[in-house]
Amino acid sequence: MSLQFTHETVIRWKPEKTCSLEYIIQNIRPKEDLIDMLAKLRTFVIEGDTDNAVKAAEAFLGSETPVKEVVDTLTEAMQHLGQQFENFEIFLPELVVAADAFMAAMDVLKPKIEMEHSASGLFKKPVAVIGTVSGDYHEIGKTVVGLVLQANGFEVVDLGSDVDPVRFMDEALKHKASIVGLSALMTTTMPAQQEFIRLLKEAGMDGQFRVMIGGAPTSREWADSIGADGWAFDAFAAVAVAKDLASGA
Amino acid sequence: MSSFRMWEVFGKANDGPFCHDQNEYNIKRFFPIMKDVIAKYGIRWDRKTVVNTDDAFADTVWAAAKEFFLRVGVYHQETHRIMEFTEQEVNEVLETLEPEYLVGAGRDQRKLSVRSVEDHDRRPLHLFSPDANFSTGLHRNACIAYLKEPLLDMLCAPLIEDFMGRKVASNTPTELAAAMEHAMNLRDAQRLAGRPDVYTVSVGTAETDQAQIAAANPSWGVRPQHLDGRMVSILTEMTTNNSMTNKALHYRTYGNVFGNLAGAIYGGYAGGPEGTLILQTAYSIQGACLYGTNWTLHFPFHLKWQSTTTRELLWLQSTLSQALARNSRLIFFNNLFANAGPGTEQVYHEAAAHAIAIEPSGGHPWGCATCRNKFTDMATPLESRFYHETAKASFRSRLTREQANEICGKLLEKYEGKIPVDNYGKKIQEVFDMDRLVPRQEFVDQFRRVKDEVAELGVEYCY
Repeated sequence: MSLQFTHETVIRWKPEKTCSLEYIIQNIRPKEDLIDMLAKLRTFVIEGDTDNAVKAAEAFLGSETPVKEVVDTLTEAMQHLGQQFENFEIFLPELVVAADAFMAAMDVLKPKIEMEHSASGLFKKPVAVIGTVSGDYHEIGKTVVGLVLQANGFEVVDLGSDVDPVRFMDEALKHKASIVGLSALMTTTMPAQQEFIRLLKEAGMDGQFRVMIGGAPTSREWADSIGADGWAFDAFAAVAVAKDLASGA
Repeated sequence: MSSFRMWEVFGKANDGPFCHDQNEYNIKRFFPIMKDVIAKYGIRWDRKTVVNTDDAFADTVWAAAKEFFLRVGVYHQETHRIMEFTEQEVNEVLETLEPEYLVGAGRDQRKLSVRSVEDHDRRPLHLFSPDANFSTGLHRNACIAYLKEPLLDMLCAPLIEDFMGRKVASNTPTELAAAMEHAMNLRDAQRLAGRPDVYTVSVGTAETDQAQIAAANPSWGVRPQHLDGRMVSILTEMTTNNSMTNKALHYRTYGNVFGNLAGAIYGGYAGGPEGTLILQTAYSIQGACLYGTNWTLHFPFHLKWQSTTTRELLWLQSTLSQALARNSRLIFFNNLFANAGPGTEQVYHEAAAHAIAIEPSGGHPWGCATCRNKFTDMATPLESRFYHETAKASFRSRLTREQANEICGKLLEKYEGKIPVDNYGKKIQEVFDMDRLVPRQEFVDQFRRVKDEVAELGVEYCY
């Protein structure tokens, strides 16, 4: 029997493994195949095809492909979509379904990430706990921020709408958040952003998380007046602000 | 609207099919149905047209919007059920609703009615509204300043932001008290401006149902029946809750001629211009069926810019106006939210474009909100005056949709590229003498200058 390799072949030699034919078939793939698989995974995520994205991610689990390559592909796909969304070439529905596919694929890859990178912390993501404040039921702006942050390397815990300030605090503690993001879409709910910051101070947790605020009626002046750490005009500007805050800048 | 089967409709909140949460409603119902309807009806924007001139397309939009509403229903946040309406129910509402109401009283009584496309008989009603917060100390005088405007048929007064030194917070005594103060100020302002019987849409300061109810009082507060208007919102998107249905019940029992406040977000769950158009049109149907509203205020706004004057949104508002005017007896207003602020030329360009896009399309103008609706004390009667004078000019000169499309194109050339740049202008105190409540000369001169400039584009102002 002979094996014909017509393309450059990627072989991860593991001396402890017996080089059986079965091992070779299962673990050695022509490089172009891998490139093709990564491209397909990218397409499934961009198209929001969660089922196929999961299958494609599963195909990498048993492979020797470094998980970083796969995660980089997924992240690039989301960043590409984020840019398209910012340019209004795609809209929220496409971003939501793509994010679902992205998260599903990442969930599949989690064991491999932990195995390959738990020591280095390479894929340790800053956590952002976000929500719309108490008394406010508007979610779209906050949802967009969450998606765009996810696409840019954050782990996002979305608490939904009408979120009590104490719940923000509890969830931020539970998830060891770097950032707490509070959205308000009405002037009558903006005071809840101020109240949360006050609550943190009174609980002796001032500085434990960085607090970002946003929402249509808010402004930099309002953010400064209540002592928020960050504010952004829209979801896209929020990414840069969030990255600065998460890095301690 | 006598056809509104209030208790049967409210009961749908408990009887409709279960849906775990809004995310599930959006992903499994809203998105796929919207995608299907857009494809089925071939709804498409050419990315150039500002004012629609295709009657068949407007009719197609109506059909698409009606089908969308029938299929998607309304999600109730608290009962986690979808309130569905049958075609029979929707047709009953559409066929039995009243196409006109007398609102206000005395000298200031007006007939609020449907209009048609390029309507030569029924003029647009001019609803002045800054849709902005004002400092408590300025609020009453700001209301008088608006009420002094001769073109004003109706007013939606500015909001109050603080009460007794504290910021107004939703669901607290400050909200109730500020809502009451707002209503009281408005009554005083109306008397002092000599316009006690103007129909005022009240009170924007009251976000919650309890604050709306607290502000209702025939002697000092919001007046019953046709004297004052109210508004109840549909939450984005196609979602309601008990606070909203409570408001609807209160307004109906109080006898108000009231409206549905509906703002689909362009770039949001409805997607691009086509989906947002279908959704926004459907909101007029939703208001009448779900809340028994007598009119709808349309404010589809841009996810990024939070305004209603971008090219796609002018197209959207002109098309939805035509769809409704040609196919229903649903009364509606179109809300102007400008990017720029007081004392800038840009705000006038935006105001003119919005007025010209919607008037020949059969709409009633509602405006002018400024500065992406972000700042306190940053709106003045001058922007609203410009807006409504332009709408009046459009009506009086019998502007056609073709002419409107051309003029809007020229106006967009003046401001479209500036939209991303913050140009918030000045506070009311800088533009107006807040003692005498007249604009300062510098800004009167600016107003006239820009009006002459817009006139050269083909708008025949009446004075």
